[in-house]
Amino acid sequence: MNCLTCQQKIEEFQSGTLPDDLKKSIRIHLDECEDCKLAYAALVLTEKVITDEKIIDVNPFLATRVMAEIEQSGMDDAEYSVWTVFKRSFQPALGIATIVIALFLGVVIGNNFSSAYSKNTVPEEAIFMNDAAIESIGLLTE
Amino acid sequence: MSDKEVIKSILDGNKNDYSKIVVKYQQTIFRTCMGYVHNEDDANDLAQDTFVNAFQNLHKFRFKSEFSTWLIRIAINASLNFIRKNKKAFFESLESDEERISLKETLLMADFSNPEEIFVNDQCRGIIQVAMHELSDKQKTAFVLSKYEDLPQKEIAAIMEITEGAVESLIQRAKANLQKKLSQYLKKN
Repeated sequence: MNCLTCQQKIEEFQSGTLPDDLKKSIRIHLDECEDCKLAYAALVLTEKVITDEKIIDVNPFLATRVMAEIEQSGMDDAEYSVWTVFKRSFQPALGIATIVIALFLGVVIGNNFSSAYSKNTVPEEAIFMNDAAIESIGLLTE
Repeated sequence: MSDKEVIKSILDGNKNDYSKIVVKYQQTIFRTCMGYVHNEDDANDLAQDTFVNAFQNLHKFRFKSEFSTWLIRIAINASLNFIRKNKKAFFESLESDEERISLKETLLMADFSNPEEIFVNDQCRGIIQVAMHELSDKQKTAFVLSKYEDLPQKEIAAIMEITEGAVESLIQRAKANLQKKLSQYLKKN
């Protein structure tokens, strides 16, 4: 028996599912090899810790504690159903309505501001300006 | 009454029916939390938080999966968050242990032919718990559900929303990592 085979079979050895001859040769190897014995110890100890933790019982008053906390959180039956209906139906609708109202108000306010500043009238100087008399910038740079 | 009927009754306003759900699943949820935190009081608190959280979000449960699957998922998230918040304190408490003895010598002398007779001292327990803590979240979850809950790979896959093959791989890697970490630690000490 070498270390590789021993460590490959060590889990089956621990669970007791190996044939007797293989069990015996692993047992002999574990007595001789320190590394494999430590690997086996790690496996056995882990299983032992898990088994010990699994048999611990839950607090027998857990259900009472849970129900008391639910009571304390103030969600009585009526509130719970109203809150549920609100969350399910009205919350998304309220979100969409808020966005639409914000857009509408933005457009309305924006239009009011633009009418106050831009009067769509041509300034007096521009009326008398003769475009034909203005020299092209191109002529100056040549 | 099936879970579905009880949940519908709760959503219709019969809040007290929720205690039936708590009693039915309390040991499962407690054991799952225990697999992550390894402390009875913390696991009880986490189980309580899980059930309160599940009650507050019961209207979100769409009956697309088993109720137990949904509940275990909440417990896993609560436990992982708890570990993240308390990781530093947990490791510090183990490092401050001054009564270290040579584990290697003790273990090499031990007789493992009858595992039930083995006494696991606090130091040894702490080392194994730290090794479990050091696994990645996914490996830890697959390992806990397999070892503490004895769930079949199909159910673990449903809870973790991955394939059965991936679950198998995660469990094998978790076992290999645990054994490697513990063997290394035992050799050093």
